[in-house]
Amino acid sequence: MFVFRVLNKDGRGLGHLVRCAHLAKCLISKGRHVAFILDFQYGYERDYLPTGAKVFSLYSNHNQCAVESSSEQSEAEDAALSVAIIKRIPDVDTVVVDHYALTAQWESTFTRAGYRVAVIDDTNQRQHQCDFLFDQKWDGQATKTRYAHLVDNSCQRFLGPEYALLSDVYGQVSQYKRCSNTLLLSLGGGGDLRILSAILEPLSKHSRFSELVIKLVIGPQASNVEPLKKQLAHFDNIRFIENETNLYQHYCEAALFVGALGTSLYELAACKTPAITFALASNQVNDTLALEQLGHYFHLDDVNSLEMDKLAQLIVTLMANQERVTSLIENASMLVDGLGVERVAAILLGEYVPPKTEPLSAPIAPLALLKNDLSVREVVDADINRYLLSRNQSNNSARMTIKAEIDKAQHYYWWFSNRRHSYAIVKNNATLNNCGNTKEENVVMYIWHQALLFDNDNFLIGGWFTVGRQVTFDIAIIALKWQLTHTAVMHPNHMWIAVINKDNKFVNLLNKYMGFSQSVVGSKAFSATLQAFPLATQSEFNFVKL
Amino acid sequence: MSKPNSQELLNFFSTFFSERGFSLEGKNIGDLRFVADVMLDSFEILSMVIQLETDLGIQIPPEELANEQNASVDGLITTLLS
Repeated sequence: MFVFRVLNKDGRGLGHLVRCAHLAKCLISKGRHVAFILDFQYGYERDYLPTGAKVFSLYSNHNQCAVESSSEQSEAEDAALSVAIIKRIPDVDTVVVDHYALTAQWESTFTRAGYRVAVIDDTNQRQHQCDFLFDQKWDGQATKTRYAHLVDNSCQRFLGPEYALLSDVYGQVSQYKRCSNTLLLSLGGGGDLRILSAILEPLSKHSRFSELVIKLVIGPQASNVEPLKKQLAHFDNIRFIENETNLYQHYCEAALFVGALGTSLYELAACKTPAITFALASNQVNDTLALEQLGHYFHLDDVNSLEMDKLAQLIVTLMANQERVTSLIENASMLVDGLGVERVAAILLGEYVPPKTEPLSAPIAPLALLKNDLSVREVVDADINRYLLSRNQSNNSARMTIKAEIDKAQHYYWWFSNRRHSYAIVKNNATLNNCGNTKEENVVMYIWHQALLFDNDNFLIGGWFTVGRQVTFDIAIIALKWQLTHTAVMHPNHMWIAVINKDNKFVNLLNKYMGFSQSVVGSKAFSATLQAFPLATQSEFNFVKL
Repeated sequence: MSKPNSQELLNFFSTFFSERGFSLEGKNIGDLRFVADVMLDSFEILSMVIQLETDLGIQIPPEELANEQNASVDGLITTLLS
C-alpha cells in the first residue's frame, strides 16, 4: 500500500495533487493499492484522483489548515494526525509526500517507524529525510547537484524531467493533429484571469485576430472568471475550457501556448507544442538557457513587468512563423517523453532500469574554419536568447548607440523580422563526452552585418558583441578580418560605414588597422551613417568608413 | 623594406616597452612575456602589431598572436624570422 500525503490548501497545490494522482494511477495499474491524505477535502479532488484510491483528510474544517509554511509545531501536528490515519490503513509500506510545508522533521516520524519514505519536491530548499527524492525540475547543468546537501547520503535522488509525473497519455503517440490557427491560453489550475484579459485586449485589436481560434483554460481555482467571460462573450472565436482534468488534446492541437510556466512546461515539451510563458510564482522563474534545452525558447519572466501590446505582437509573430518555432522544440537537446510516472513507479517497485544517456544534438555545421579551434557559423533560431543576453551584457551595450536593455518580447519580435546577417564565432574545446559527442559548443561572440541603400548607393553596417567576457583580442581581429573578406564576396560594391564609441580604444585601433578611415562630415557616407545610426553623436562616436 | 634581423627586432621591442614605462634594467629582454611580464593589454598589443608592420614591414597573422610559443619576445622573434 502506498500512502500519498499531498498539499491541497486554500486552493493551492492542485499541481501536487495532479502529479501524485498520475503516479497513483500507474501504481494501481501495476496491482498496488493507494491512499491519499489531504489537508482538507474541498470536493474537486475526486475529479483528479484515480478510481480505487482511498481518500482521507487531516481536517474537517478548512479553517483549521492555517499553516502557510513548515514549522516545528505544524509538522509535528501534521505527522501525528497522518500517523493516526495511516494506522487505520492496512499494509502501508511506503509514504509518498508532496507538500511544501513538510520537511525532514515530518518525514523522520515515518522513517523511524519503518516506513519507506519518498519525497516529491522541486524547490531545492528544504531538508528531507527519505529513501527516495524525486525532483523533476530542470536546472541545466546544476540539475545533478540539486538536493545534494539537503538529504542524507543514503537517499537516492532522481533528478530532472525524465522523472516528471505527467499523465500516461503523454507517453503515447498523439492521435491529435496540430491546428495551425489555434492559440491556447492558460494560467494553470488557478490564477487571476485578469491577466488573460490583459493579454487579449491588445490581441483582439490585431488585424489577424479573427483568423485565430483561441482557447482559454479556466482552472478550478481561477479568480475573476465571470468578468473575463463577460468581456469576451461577443467574440465567436474564443472558447472556454472548463472542468477538464486533462488538457492533453488541447496541448497537442494548439499551434502556440501562452501562459504560466508552472507544471505545463513538461506537458508542452512532451507534446512538442511551442509556448510563450511567464512566471506567476517565484519558483517558476527559470534560467532562460536551461529552458532552451527543453526546447522552450520564449519565456518572458515576471508577468507583472510584461507590456501586453508587445506580447500580443509576439503572439501574432510566432503564429506566423510556426515552422521555425516548432522546429525549436522538436530539436530540443533534453528529451521529455512523458514516461516519468513509469520510471518513478518502477523505482518505487524496485523494477528500475536506469535510462541510457541521450546523445546530445549534433553541432551546427560551420561556415568556415578561422583557425584550429575557431570557426564561424550562421546564426540559427536556437541562438535567439544567447544573442539577446550577450547584446544586453553591460560590457557590450555600454558601447552601443542604444544602451538600454532590450526586453525579451521586443527582441523575439525583432528576431523574426530583421534583415541582419548574423554569425556566431565558435571556440571548440574538442573534448568528448561519454557518448562520443563534442561538448556543447562554445559561442564566444556574435558578429553581424546588414546591407542598406542610401541615396542610390549601397552601404554595409555591422557590429559584434561578446558572449561572456572570454573574447581575446586575437579572436576579435580574426573575426573582423573574416567578416570583411566575407562581405566583400557577398556584397561587392558596398561601402562599410560604422560608428565606434570613442572610449573603445581597442576597436578604434582595430578598425584603423583593418583600413577604416574617418568619414568626412557632409559626405554621402557620413549622411548614410547618420541615417543608419540616428542615436550616434559625433561627440561620443567616431564615424568611419571602408 | 628588407627583412629585419634578430638584433633589430630586439631593439624594436626594447624601445616599444620603454616607451610604455617598462624598465628593462636587470632583465633579459628575450625572456620577457608580452602579457604576463610587460602587462601589455589588447590595445597595446595591437599597437605593437601595427608598428611592427609600419616600421619594419612585418605582418603578423592574428592567429600567431594567440600561439603560446609567441607569448615571449624570443618566441615571437623566432617565428618572425622563420
